[in-house]
Amino acid sequence: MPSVTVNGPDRKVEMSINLAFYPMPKVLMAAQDFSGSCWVDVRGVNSGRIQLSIRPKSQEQDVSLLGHEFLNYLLSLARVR
Amino acid sequence: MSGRKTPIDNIEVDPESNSVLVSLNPKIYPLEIVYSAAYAFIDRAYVILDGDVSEEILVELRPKASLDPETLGREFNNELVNYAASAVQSLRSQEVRDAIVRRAFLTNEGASAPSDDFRNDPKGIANLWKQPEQKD
Repeated sequence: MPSVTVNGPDRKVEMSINLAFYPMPKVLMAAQDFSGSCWVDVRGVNSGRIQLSIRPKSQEQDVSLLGHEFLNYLLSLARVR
Repeated sequence: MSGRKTPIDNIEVDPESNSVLVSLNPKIYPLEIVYSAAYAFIDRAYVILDGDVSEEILVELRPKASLDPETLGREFNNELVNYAASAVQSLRSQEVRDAIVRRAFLTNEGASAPSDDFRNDPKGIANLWKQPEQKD
């Protein structure tokens, strides 16, 4: 299963996303849309998965469900071919 | 994932993370159907897709509110059936829909196109009007 890891002290969410379900252009689109409110770091692709980390710019923003919010948004983009 | 799984069910509940993992056969539910059903759930749950597109699709659902994860998983199964059934129905009625659209386009085919007669000005509309001369 995809790993959505919340790094509490760093206020960072790390994700490993399966590119068979979420195509790369959609991942980049979602990352761009989140870049307004978060610091986004898209890292290398490894065996069909992309590593990505996001960190909210604001201290007030809740980090615990940020990764899941990102993946829900990504799903809404991915379903439209 | 430490949960309970029965041989019949395709759902696995993880009480620790309050989530449910639904395993799907892509030969029964193609990816398009899974996308549609998953999208229908994003207001109620956090959805993650993973697995192998040709072997086994895994859908993780984590309810946003205080919903029972097992119920959520079963509702997701029902939603999949809905979308799969409507896809089959849509495929069946495709021919009829095509025929209706084709007929609609053919309706005006026999109508005559406007002629170029107006260029000859048969009614003399383009002539300037002149005051007739008065005869005394």
